[in-house]
This record gives sequence, C-alpha cells and structure tokens, in this order.
Amino acid sequence: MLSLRPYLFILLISFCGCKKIQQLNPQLHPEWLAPIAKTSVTLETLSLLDSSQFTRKIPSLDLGFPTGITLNVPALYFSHFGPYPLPVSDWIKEIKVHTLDLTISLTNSFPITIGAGTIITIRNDADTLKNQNIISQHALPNDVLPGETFTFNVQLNDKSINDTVFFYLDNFNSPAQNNVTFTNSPSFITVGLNIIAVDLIKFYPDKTKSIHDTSDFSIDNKTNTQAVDDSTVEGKLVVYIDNAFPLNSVFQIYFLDDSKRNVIDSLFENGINLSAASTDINGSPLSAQHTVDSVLISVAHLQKIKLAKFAVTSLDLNTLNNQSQEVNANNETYLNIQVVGDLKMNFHL
Amino acid sequence: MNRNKILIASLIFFQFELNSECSNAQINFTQFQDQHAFSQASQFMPSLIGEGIRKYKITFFDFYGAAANSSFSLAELDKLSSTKTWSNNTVDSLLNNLKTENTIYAVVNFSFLNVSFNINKHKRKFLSFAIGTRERLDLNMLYSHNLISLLLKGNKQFAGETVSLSPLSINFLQCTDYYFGMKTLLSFKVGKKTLLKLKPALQFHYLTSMANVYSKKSNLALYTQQDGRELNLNYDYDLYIASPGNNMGTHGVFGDVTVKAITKNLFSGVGNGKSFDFGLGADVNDWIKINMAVTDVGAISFKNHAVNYSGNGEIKFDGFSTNYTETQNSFNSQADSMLSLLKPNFENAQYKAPLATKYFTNVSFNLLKKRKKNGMVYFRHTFNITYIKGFKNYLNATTTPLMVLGYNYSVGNILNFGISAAKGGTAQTSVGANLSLQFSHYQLWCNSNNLLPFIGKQNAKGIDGAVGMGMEF
Repeated sequence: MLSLRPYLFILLISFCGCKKIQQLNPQLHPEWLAPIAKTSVTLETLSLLDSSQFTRKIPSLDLGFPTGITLNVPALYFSHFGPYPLPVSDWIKEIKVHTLDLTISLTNSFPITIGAGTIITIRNDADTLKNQNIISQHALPNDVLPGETFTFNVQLNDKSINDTVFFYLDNFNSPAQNNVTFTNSPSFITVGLNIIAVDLIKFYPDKTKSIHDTSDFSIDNKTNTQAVDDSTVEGKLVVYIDNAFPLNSVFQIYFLDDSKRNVIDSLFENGINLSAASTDINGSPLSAQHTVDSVLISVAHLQKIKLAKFAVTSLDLNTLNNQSQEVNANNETYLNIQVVGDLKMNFHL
Repeated sequence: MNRNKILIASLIFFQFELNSECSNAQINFTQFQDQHAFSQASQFMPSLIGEGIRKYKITFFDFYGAAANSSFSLAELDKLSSTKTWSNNTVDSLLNNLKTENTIYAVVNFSFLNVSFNINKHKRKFLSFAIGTRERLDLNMLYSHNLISLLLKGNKQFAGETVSLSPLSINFLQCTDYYFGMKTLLSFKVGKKTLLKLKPALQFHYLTSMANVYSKKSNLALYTQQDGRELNLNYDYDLYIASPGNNMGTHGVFGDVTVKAITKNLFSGVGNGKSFDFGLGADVNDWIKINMAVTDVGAISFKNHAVNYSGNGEIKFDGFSTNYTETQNSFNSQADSMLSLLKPNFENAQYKAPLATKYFTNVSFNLLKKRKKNGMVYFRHTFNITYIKGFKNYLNATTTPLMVLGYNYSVGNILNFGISAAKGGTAQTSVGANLSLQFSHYQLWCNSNNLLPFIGKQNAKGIDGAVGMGMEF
C-alpha cells in the first residue's frame, strides 16, 4: 500500500535544498597532475616512405608506337620491357623489411592486348641478369584486354628495398592486331607498399624528414567556457622524451584553426631539440637520450589554444652532422614522447 | 568525467548536505520516554508492546521524518552558502569537517494503523500483542573525505600515493511493513516476593518493497605517479536496483516506471521478505526498568524487476595517444573508449537486500509512582538512558554508537513532556523534546530527537520530528 505522503516529504526537503544550492557560487582551485598526451614512434609507425602508393606511366612510345595514327601492330615479344624506376624514399638508403604488403595494379590503356604470361617484376636495381635483386615477380594469368586492369596482392617476407625500385614487364607478349590507334593515355602500374614490420633501416647521412600527425582538438565548448575561468589557470606542461633513434629531432605541437591551414599557436616557442642516440652496426641503440622540458602556461597562450580545432604533432627528423656513410636503425629503436600537465585551475561549480 | 556530470553530482551532494540541515537520529528514541508513545516505540523495542495502555490502543496516525549528515552543522552550511567565493581556506575548512567516511541519510516512517492490546491474567498483563502496518523509507549515502578532496583540490596532493576514494555508495529502501508482535511476562518470585519480571518479546514483519537500491560493494582507488606520468584507477562495484519498471537500465536508474507497472505490483511489491525484532524487558523493580532489543534482523528478496550493475577493473592512463600511422586521431574518442570501461555490466538478477540491523538498550529510572482511578499506573518523573548502535553504516543504521539521556515529567498522565540530549550517531549531538496529551480516550503526541537547528546551529547536523494520534482504552 503506497502512500504519497512520504514522497511528498522528500520532495519538500529536496526543494529546500535546491533553494539553498542556488545561493552557492563556489570557485575552486584544484591542482591536477596528470598525463595529457603521448606518442611512441617506432620504425613501424614512422612514415618511412615518401608515399604508400606509387604510380608509373608507360607511354606507347616505349613500345615504339606513336599516338594518333592507325596502325597494324604485329605480334610483340620483349624479354625485359622496362626498366621503370620508382623512387620510394630520398632519405632511406635501404630497408630490410620483415613483412611487407604489396599491391600491384596494371592498367592497360593501349589498344592492344597484354598477353597472359607477361611477368610484372620489381627489382632493386636495373640489372636484369641478376636474380638476387628481384623483390617480387608475378605473371599475368590471363590476357589483359584494352581498358582492363589487373590487380594482385602479395605479402613478402625478409626482403630488402632500396631507395629506388625498378619495374619490368618481363616476357612481355601481345598478339598482332590491325587498325589500332594509340592515344595519349598511357598505360600505368600502381604499387601500394605497406610495411608491416621492419628489421633494419639504413638512412642516408645529411638528410631531413618532417612527419606530421593531425588530431581533432577542442577544449572550448559552451560547458567548459562556463566552468573554467582561464584567466587564472596557471601551471606548466612537462614533456618527457626518450629518444633511442639515431636521428636528431625537433618536436613541436601546432594548433590549427577550422580550415587546418592557419597556425594559431604552438605549444613550445621553438620546439624541443632532441639529440640522436647512437646505434651499433646492427642498428641497435647503444643509449637513449632522456630529455625533460617544460613550458609555462600563460593566459594569452591558453586563450589562443582554446580557439584551435586541430592539433598537429610535428617531428622534424634529420641525420645531419653524422660522419658515417649510413645511419642504421633496427626495430629496437624508438622515440617516446609524453606530455604531463601540472595545472592549477580556477573552477566554477 | 565531464563537467556536467561533476556539477550534477555536486548538486546532488550539496542538496543532500543542505537537506540534512533539517535533522538527527535514524530512530525516534524520544518515544522511549513518553508512555503515550510507547505503542509507536514498540515498533523498535518489542518489549514495550502493551506498555502504557490498560486494555488496548489504536494508533491511527504516526509520522516520523528525519534527515542528517555526519559532517556539517547548519551554521557551517550557512557560512558556506553565504560565501560567494570559496577561497582555499573555505575549501580547507569544508574538508576539515569531513571524516574519513561520511554519511547522509533520510528516513520516513509513516504508520497507518497500529493496534496494541493486553490479555490479563490475575489482573496482571500476561500477554501483549501489537499488529499494524507502516510505510518505511530509508536512504543513506556514504562518501569519503578523499573523494571530495580530490574533486575540490585535484590530485596533485596525492602524488606518489594510492588513495582510496571509497566508500562511495547509496542505499535506498522503500517498503511496506506488516507486523505482528507479542510479549509475555515472566515473573521470578521467592515466596511471595517478586524478584524480577522479565518480558521477552518477538515481533515478526512481512515486508513488501516497491523500490530498492543496494550497494553491495563500491571500491574505488586512484594512484597518481609522483611525476604525474601515470594515473591508475581501480574500481570494483556491485550495485543492485529493483523497481516496478526496471528494464536493464535502458530507461534511467529505475527503468521505465509506468502506472501500469506500479499498479500491477502495488500489493505484492517487486520484492518481499521477513524480518524479526527480538526484545527483552526486565523490571528490576517498580523504579528501574530495562529494555533491550535487536531489530530488523532479516532481508528482502528481489526476484523480479531486479538488475545487477557491476564493474571490476583497472584503468591506466598515461596520456592520449597520437599515432603516426593514422592521419587523424580523436582525443574525444579515446576518452570515450577509456570511460566506457567504467560502464557497468548489467544483467537481470535475484538478490537479497539485508535490513539495517540495530541494537538498543534503554534503562528508565521512575520516581513517584501514581495510579489513576481507572487503574493506569504512571510515574511523575522518568529518567532515561538509551544506547543505540547499528551493525554497519547502512540505511537507517550507523556503527557510531548513540547515547541518549532523557527526562519526562507527567502531569497526571494527561500531559507528558520531557527533554533529551544525545551524543553520537550520525548527527553526533542533539537535543530533543517530547510533548503528549491525553483527554478521555484520545491521545496526541509530538516529539523530536533533534531541535538543535532551532536553538543551536553550531552543532545542528540534522533534524527530525514525529506527530501522532490514537485512542487508548
């Protein structure tokens, strides 16, 4: 048997409580010590290549046929049609990959068929007499007709890749065809490289490389604006860095506006300079460089950062001032960065 | 936790804190010293069944409400509410009031009907009975000093430490109580001289509940590494909720409570159980009477409409990850993913919610025995000592012992009035009063354990009060 009376009593005292709370306007000054952001860079997570996808055009003139003229094409055969050099990185001399995902597409824009049995070969140099320089070979199981694309995926293990690789169409064959006209549209080969695991990288000396990572960033919404009075926020951000890469680095975080084009502010005035760690001939780190730096949070600084919509963590890597011919790094090398906040906030309830 | 959640939690917290300025002890112990209110007091002290009445008594109405907190007095809350800007000193002052473990509670006890009657043998009360029903509503919240300190001052103060944020729990029980009590009188004589009168009593309760929140377990601990490079939150909680509309938490805490669902469970409740009160009275002589009781021994079983929310794990946080393998990372999604670990596992469950078992002792010293023309015996002066202790901090019980001293003056058993002072319990200090009136067969009474909010805000951490009326024959 329920009675409303007990509940009315509770409602009554709750109402009294609500009236009291309206009178409160507490300003609090909590001091928080907490990690904010971290990043861990390894050979696998580092963007080693200039791109993950490369395209190489094959114009009809390479077959000896001009464009815009109607021709009778005889049966064709080339034992090695190529080479087509493909630069994959200008700062890496050689990568010894443990696992590599390879995706290759051949698009036939010619008016003639590329016959079955044609082999797509990737080599580390242009020498067709050697077998040791072959990275991958794949024969076309069927004819690739004009306008068709043939694609295949393969995972490779324990391969070396140089800074430039060379494509060939070995055993290139094509049946005779009459009254065909080659156009300005070339055929092309597209290669996708996805390095899964790396054993060793040999960097060139005196090279630089910038890596950026963009993240959503927002500390300015209506709720927080009401809650945090940033005019009295004070404190510092402490950055802990362990660098076991044989690369000098400059670490910085940039804050961007909505358009992602304009830099509103940066976290550090000049970025944090990290000295390269030394490695042995196998690329193993001999020592890690520990760096601790901090940046004071000013009111102006924070107000600018609050306007940002994106944050870009920037890492400028270089092998400058390295006396050796190559800089080796294996999969034991790393760069860990952690940002810790030591902040005192003025907080309205 | 986002700021809205903190605000809401704080509002609830402070609302209860401020509500609690209105009270004192979970049990209406002032009724122990006024024989006009013995029929109500017997609900907690079964050896008082049949006391203060000749043949029978019908109570039509008795309402008792209480609320209190263990930490802040009314004066302190007034000061906090009038301080527009909280300085560090204000926060420190607030935290200094908190104990390691703090309690907020509210109690409503509403009796619809109570009938007590005596069966006499050789003109002496031989058997006494009580039967009745009442509505009970108990709420308590436990929170720790460390948790409030963390919210108000941040975690830097705990650098290098693992701090327990427990307890953090809420318990709530609504139930309708149908009870039947019996007391008998055993006299121990040597020859014709009565050495001791013992009054063993037993009260049985059948309880039906429409809503319950039972925090079986609520452990929370935070580790802050000395340099702040890692936070580690350990949590282990086990919460049961029952209500007519409970549907796995998809419609709020109590589910989709509809009129239909309430009507369907109106009499049976969503849970039911049994409990016992054990009492023993001893009249050492006419002037010294001792009553003892252990009450609310039992539990309510919730078999339907009950959901168990539980979680157990550890969240380690060393910063939001920026990963160079992806061009876009969302800090928000990482935060959501981390906080999702705190979300409970929930499943339909059957459980037993224990009642808040308590122990009472009351010793009364009675002076100037009087007998009215109708045979009613009363004492002009009654001095009381009462001791109450709960077996755990749960619902209307607290493990902090409560000691009460009271005095009642009776004017011909027509007008009774008295005062009491208590130390201990949740509210720690209280001063109460009782007043009752009997004309013809009609009785009216009102009493309070704690009137400090009206007379001494400095120590007032709670308030309570009761009013009732009945007929005595």
